[in-house]
Amino acid sequence: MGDRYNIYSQLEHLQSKYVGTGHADTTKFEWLVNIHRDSYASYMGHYNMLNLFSINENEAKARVRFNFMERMLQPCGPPPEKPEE
Amino acid sequence: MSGIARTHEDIEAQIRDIQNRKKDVSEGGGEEKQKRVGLGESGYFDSDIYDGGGKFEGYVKSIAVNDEADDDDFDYQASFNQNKRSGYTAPAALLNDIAQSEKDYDPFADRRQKTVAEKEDEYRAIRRRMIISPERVDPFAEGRHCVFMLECHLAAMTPEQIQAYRWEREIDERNRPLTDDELEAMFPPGYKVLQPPAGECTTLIQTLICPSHPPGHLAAMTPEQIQAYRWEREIDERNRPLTDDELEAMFPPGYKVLQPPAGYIPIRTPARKLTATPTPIAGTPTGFFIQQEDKTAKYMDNQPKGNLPFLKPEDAQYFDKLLVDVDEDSLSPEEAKERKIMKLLLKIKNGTPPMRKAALRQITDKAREFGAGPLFNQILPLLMSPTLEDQERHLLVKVIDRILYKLDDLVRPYVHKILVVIEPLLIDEDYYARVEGREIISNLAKAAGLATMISTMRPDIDNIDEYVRNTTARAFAVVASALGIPSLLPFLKAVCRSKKSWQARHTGDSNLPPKFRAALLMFSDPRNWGGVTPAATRWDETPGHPKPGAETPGATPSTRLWDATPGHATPGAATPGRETPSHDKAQSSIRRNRWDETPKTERETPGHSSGWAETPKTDRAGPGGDLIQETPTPGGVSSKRRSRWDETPQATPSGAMTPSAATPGGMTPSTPITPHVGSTPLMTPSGVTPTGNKAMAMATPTPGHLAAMTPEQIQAYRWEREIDERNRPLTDDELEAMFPPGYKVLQPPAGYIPIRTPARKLTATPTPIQGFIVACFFIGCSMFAPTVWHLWIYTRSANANFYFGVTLAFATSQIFLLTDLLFAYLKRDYTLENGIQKTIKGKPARLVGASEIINRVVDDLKDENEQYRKMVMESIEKTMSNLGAADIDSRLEEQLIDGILYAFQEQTTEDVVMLNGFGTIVNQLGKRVKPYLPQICGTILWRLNNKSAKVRQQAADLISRIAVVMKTCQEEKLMGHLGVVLYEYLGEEYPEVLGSILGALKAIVNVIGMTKMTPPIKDLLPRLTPILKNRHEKVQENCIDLVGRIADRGPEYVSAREWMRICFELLELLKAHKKAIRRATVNTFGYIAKAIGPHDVLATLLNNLKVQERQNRVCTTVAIAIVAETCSPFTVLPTCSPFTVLPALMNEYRVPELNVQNGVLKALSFLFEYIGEMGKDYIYAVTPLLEDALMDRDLVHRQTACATIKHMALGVYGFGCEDALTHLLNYVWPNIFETSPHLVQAFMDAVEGLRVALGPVRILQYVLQGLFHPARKVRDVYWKIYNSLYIGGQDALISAYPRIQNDMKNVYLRYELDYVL
Repeated sequence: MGDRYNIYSQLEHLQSKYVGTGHADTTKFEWLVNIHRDSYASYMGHYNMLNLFSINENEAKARVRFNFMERMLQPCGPPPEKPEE
Repeated sequence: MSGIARTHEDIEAQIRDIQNRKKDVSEGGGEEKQKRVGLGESGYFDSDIYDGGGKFEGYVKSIAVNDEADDDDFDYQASFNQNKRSGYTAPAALLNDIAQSEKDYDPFADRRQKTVAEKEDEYRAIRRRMIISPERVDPFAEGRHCVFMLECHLAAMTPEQIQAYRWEREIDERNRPLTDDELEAMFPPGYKVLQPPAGECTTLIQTLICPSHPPGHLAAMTPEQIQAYRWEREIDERNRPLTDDELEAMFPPGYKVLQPPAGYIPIRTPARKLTATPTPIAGTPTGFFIQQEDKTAKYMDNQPKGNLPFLKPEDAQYFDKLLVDVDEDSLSPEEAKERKIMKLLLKIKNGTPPMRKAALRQITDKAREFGAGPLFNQILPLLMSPTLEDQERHLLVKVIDRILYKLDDLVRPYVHKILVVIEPLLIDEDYYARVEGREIISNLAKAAGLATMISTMRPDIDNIDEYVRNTTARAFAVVASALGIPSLLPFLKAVCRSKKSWQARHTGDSNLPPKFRAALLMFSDPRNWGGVTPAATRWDETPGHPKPGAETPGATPSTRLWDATPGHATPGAATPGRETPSHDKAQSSIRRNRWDETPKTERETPGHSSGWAETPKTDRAGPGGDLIQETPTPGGVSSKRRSRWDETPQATPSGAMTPSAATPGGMTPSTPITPHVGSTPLMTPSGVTPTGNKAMAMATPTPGHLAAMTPEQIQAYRWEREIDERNRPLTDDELEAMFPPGYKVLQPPAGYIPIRTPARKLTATPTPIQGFIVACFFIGCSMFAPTVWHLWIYTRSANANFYFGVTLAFATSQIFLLTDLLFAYLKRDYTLENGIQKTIKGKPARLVGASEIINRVVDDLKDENEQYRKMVMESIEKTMSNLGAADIDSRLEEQLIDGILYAFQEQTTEDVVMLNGFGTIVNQLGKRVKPYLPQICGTILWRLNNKSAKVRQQAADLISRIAVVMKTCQEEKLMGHLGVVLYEYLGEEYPEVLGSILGALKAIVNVIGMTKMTPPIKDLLPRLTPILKNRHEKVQENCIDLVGRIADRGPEYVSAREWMRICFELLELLKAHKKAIRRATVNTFGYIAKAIGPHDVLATLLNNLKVQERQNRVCTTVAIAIVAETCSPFTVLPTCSPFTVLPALMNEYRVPELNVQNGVLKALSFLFEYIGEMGKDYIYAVTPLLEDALMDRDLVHRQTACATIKHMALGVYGFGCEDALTHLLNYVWPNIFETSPHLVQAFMDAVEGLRVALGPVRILQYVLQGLFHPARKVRDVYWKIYNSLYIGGQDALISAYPRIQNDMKNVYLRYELDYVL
């Protein structure tokens, strides 16, 4: 059973280098945090998206960008308490 | 054949001649036939000559039935004439030979893997004579350490001191004589104290020693050992300390016993009280018993019942109980346990891997339940078995390793037993055995604890048997490195100082180097220094030599603490560099042994200690420094040097005991077998000193002023010393020892004064005699040497190595010379013209060289010495290939061609040198060779007709080399002639030659082109078809190349029918082992398909899919795909594109046969890979087929279909085939939970391909359903796909992530996406 997946271990190693990848034990919170951060990164990376948001919010683009950057810290709020074992 | 043709006409005449002769042979030959006698016909004899009586006259014409004289013959024929089968077989003599050999003869006997015992040499075989000692009492079971702790009231001491003190005390304590009470407690009832025989002075101790050498032990000793043992015993006894009673009896009344002063601790190490290994204290009453066969047990079978592996007959003695069929319930718990263990062991030893695994796990888990005793009582004898094989030993050792962990302290009573068995592994020749042994012992040490280890091994240290001491020392080293060096030091110190037994000291010494290897490894890491900095320990100032100036301020008292031998302290030990307290301590204990009165210990000691003294030097050289390389083996440099002293007959009683003398047998017991990296520096040259009474003189001259020197100075000083020492004149003693008796010392002549300063010996002013010698030398150099040099080269050129060397040197030096000349020339030109300007203008550089050189050697091409000619040829080749032929004038050119032709023709051994030389020279001359080509071709033709196959081959090879030049010279006609001749020789029987001929033809065809080729292609190709059947690789390769070339360039010259025939032949070639052949074949299929249209070729190939052989099928599918590819619209022929191939392929899929269907799918896969975006036109056509394949039960169907879809999807990306692809994705997706790795891979690939074609969003929608599935197996796979999706399309997924509602605490909605402007 163990060595059946060995072929892919290399691939999995590669995947594990990306923060946003997950595994069977990834929680909803973790997954969504990654999604949010990716989203913010994407917003900031696309010029037009940033334009859209700044018009909508009536803020300077730099401000919007800064806000996104700030929000990446805890995009979904505090992490849930882990059930202690 | 009249001779070598020189002109075109000659050559043509010759060719006609050849052709006619061929014709005669094949068609006619009728008239000749009548003159000859057929093979089966009976001839006639000239009755005049043969006297009419026939040649059998005088012979017995019938064979008598019972004729003894013919017995031999009869016999010989009878055995093989029975079967009338015709055909070839091995010579009858050989067959008879085998038939007559004895029944049990095993022809593979010498190939059989040897058992461990068979591989051992004499020394190592001693291990099997060792006796597994019975278990012992665990002296540490009740925490007796406390006693010693209480004694540590010495507040004034440093921690180290306390520790050392405690150890010493403990060791003393452990080795103290047993009291009567203890003895009584130990022995089973029934033992009683023997009374000493009358008249002999015996003590209680003596009676105790007696049973420790049971007869069994003595029996295991050689007579010499017994003798030695007896002597020692006697001496010991005489010198044993007097008891109080004896003293009282001696002294007149009135004497009284004084109290020892406070703090006095008597030396209570009775080093030899425990000399013997087997101490039958607890457990079995005798140390040795002859194994009795259990008479009550009946051998029901020679194989055990139940689910047990095969029992080898030689194992029967160990597993005999399993052969008896018993009711397991009726057994006592002990017996049941034993049986259980036995079964497990048998499974481990002989079972299949799964069986072995399970048994190993079971025995490990239950180890504590079974108990150490029953386990080891069975495992250890097995390990001693002489029939053990490497693998079995490895397994058993593994068992021990595993159970050691489990048993932990339960193992203590068995430590010695285990050691006896495992120690020999440490000197095994097999590296892995040694590693295993080391591992076991270190685990054992950790399980049993240092105290047990020391107390167990202690008696073996001064065992009278060198083998035991050797192995014990090694084991000690392992224990030391396992438990930490410092903890063992006090003990070691005690051993090295042991007054009583030189064996103990010897062992102590010899276990130091390996140990210190470990120590050095540790200490080379600064973290291990602890509080002691190198500066603090650098100058080990001993009290005996006070040197206040050298005292390092930072030195703590503790660094000097261990130098316990002030009297003999040598600052020499204080080498600059890292010295550690433990080092010093060991050093000091070793130092003592330099003055040991036992020659052996004395000899060894300086070797060890100075070995350490040198180590800092290597430290400075850097970790893993060069010095390691310089002294690769302990026996290497040092032994060579030593041998000057060592090989004297009486120098060492047994050479094996000196640490570095390499014994011819291969291994030296006292030297480490493998110097691993960290250890070698110990054996730097100065690590070894001469033996004998010289030891003292050599080992310690360490002047006090060393301390004032810089490290470099010290280093230099040390080297000098060492060199002096090595070169010192032999003493009379040594000389005497060296020479056989009968030699005597000559008196020097009167007035002779020996030169005492070595420096003067070489540099002294030359005397007149020396002047004469110099003159002779000068004359010799200037006059004779060149002559001799030339002669030497000339004569020695027959030697191949020499020849190669000289040629190489010649060519190289010529090139250097020329480069130099050229450079000088350029530089001169440059400076004359430009001064010191930086650009070179003006004349282009002209090569000055080739003609110069060639001019000189060209005549030698006609030398009568063949080797020399070859040398010249090679030199010319090298020169010309480097410098070109630009400056060779016409005369030289003529000479050159003449020379190479001569050399080529006159060669007797065909060599590739001549061939290369010829080829290179002709190619370099290029067009200028035109006038000579007829002559060259004549030579080639002449040689093509030679009797020797090698000559023919060489000639053919030469054609392929000069073909290009011939084309350059526009000698097409000549090439045509050559082609004709080669064509005629296609019937060649030697495959090597045939291969070369085909190669030559290929070269000609390549150069000349299909249209001008003679013989015409339509004649040539049919001749090639049968040759394709040839099994020789060279022939196959050349032939397929030629055929492929024709198919590529001139397919129209041959009928389609012929090409089909070739197709069938090509199928066979797909089986070839050589990849180049298979590749050429597959490509040829493509060319042929292009030439005659794909249908027929495809039919042939599809038919071939039905074959069983996998390689053949794979190649066929590749060929199909190539056919499909070459028939794509990119190629010139518009008649041929995938739609010509696809229907046939899809039709073939209807054949209900796995291989065929898989082949078709594979071909489709290749097809879609090759046609790329053209696939968009065919995707709808093949979709039903792929649907079917993806629903098939067969994994390979689905796998190949997945691969096809991957290629298809990647090809049609962006062409609007999403509907079909989505449809296919629905068929692909259910394979998500497959477990076969290939299918998993293919599935992942297909999904990746579809991700590209359909976009990541679509795939994400499939994936989302399983990411948080309750079953982990589902989540695993889905997350894997998600990950690859995520990496592939991170940004694209942003807009597609699901909308997750907020919960009490967290905000999950991405509100920005809701903005509406």
